[in-house]
Amino acid sequence: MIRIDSVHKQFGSTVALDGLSLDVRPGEIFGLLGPNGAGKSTTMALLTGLQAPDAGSVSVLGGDPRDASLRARIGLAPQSLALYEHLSGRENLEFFARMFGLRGERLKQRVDAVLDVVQLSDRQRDHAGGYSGGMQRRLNLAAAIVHDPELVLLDEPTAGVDPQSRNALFENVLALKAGGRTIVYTTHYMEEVERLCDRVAIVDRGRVLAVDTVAGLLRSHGGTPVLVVERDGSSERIETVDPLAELNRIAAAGPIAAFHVERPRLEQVFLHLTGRSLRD
Amino acid sequence: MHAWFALAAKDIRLLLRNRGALFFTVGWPLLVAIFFGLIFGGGSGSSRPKIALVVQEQHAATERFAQSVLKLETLEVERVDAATAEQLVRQGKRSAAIVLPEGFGERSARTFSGDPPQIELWLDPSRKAERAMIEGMLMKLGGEAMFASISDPEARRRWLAASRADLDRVDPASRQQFSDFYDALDAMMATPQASAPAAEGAIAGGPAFTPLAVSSREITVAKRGPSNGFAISFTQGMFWALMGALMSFVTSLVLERMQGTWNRLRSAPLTAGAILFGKALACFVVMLASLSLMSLVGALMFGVVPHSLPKLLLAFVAAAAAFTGLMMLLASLGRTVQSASGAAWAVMMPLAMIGGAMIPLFVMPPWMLQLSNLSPVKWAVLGIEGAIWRGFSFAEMATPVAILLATGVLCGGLGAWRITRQPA
Repeated sequence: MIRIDSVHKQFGSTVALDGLSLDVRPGEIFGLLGPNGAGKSTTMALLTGLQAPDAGSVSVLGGDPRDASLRARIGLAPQSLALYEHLSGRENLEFFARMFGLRGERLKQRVDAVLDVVQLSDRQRDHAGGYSGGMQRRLNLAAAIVHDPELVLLDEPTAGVDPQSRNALFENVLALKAGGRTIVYTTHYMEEVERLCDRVAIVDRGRVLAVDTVAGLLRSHGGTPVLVVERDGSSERIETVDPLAELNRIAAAGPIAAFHVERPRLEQVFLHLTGRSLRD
Repeated sequence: MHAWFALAAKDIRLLLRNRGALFFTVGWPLLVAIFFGLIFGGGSGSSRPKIALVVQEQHAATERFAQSVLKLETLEVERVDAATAEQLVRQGKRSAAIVLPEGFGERSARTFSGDPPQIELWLDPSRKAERAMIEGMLMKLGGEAMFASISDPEARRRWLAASRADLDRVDPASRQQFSDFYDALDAMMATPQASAPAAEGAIAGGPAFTPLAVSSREITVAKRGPSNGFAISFTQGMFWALMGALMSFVTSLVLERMQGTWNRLRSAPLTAGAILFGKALACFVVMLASLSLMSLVGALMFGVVPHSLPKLLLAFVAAAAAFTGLMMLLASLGRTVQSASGAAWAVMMPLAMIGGAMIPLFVMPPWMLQLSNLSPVKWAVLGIEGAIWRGFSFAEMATPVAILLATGVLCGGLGAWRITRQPA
């Protein structure tokens, strides 16, 4: 579906991508996780043909994304809200659908369908500028999928969104996957990756540091779970690969006041791979 | 092709919904034109075409006709002698002169026989619109005069006597029909129910006749000047209409890039050139519409009647093309609305100052006129003035039009080249 091979991209003296390589499989939600400036948006720009690599190669849907006919099969929801505030939600979608070649009844059907998917049918006649942040994000997603693309690129789709709208967007993304679409999802929120993505690439300073499922990344780079036990008025931390067996062993030796297990998170994975926190 | 129109329609719709941009594209230029027109003394009290009237004989029918011309509400008519009339037309102080020559009164008494009464119209050959309007009014007056002559019993008696006396000069094939018509008309008009439609119906299907014959004499205007202050201020207002649209679309194009819609459009199966062409098309259409509206208001309300509509349209197209190209170039100079609009003002204001949009070209000293050649604003102003009051021929229009079109192509091409090379 997507193959990026040893791509370099530089803007002036700033290196945006430094030998980045990726493979995305059909039908999966692929996460690009990294801090701001890691190269996620530049990668998206390469995948939509907005940028050309200085070196290396990019293949999307079997071709070069700078080929206009191929771009008709890709949908992009940019990080910024790429909408016209003085057009209604419906007018925005009709306009972008026309840009992708939709006409007549097909256009109307697709606009109605995506308005329904993002639950904006009842506000479709209102100007987009009057929508809440969450509604604008949903409209931004709708504009990316109105032409029914095979590949959907979502660049930080939940930026500045309230929890309720975020959940609605997650449902939309999962529905797209269920419909057979391939999705590339960039974010710096680990919870989103853990909840949505089949596989994740950890990106930093223009390079891919690791690619695997969330469980695989945790196994490989997350470290050992920690069992925390409180007894005799003190707290004890025990690193163990089998917290249940260790808990049974401690309980057999005497009474336990309380306990909990600290499992590794992607934060630890990032810390392990880069030596700094994701939010630094 | 469909994408171009969809892009242009989107931008026009956005402009119409942006009250501020709409005001500076349409409302502000009109205010400027009206305000400065009044300051320049444009309000001469009348927007009616000024006409001279020359009466070259002493005859009751001629005098009656002259009085009816003087009473026309749609023309401002002044009675003068022939020499004065010719001088006034030649100086451009009167649009035309209506001349009632010797024999006019006598011929008025013989509507259906011999030659119809002759009227001469002296005017500049370029004034085709005024000529059609004046001829129409004279024909109407001629018809009314004929009807008046057959409505009054005494006048009708004289008119019928003269007409019957001239029957031998009528085509033999129609002679009996005219004789019968005169008898029937005499009998009918003597009844109280006599009415105009009956008289018109009586000749329906008969030989064609005309109540007047209008011949023209061409008097080329030696030196033209603006008809009133509004002719100057409306041209300047038109610059502000172009400027308003230019600034709106500079902002719109920069906002596309700032807000991400440019990237979304570029991710569609469209070339950057197609997207920019759609933007340019919208800008061009808005400029053309705004100029046309200004011209319509100027003509209908302030007497700024262009001497040639085709030339005015040509000037509008060329000016809109030039300013659309400038819009594209100026939009490429900044990455933010502030920087792009700042650059646009910084470039356009000097061009406007030396280009005749603030100081009229005809009052500029020679050195400033020379300098103004560098400004596309000057050629836009000159082209529009050429079509409104300078009386340019097509050959004279060629220079400003060619310069404006070249400006549009060069600036537009350079701007598009710069924009497509800027990082996404």
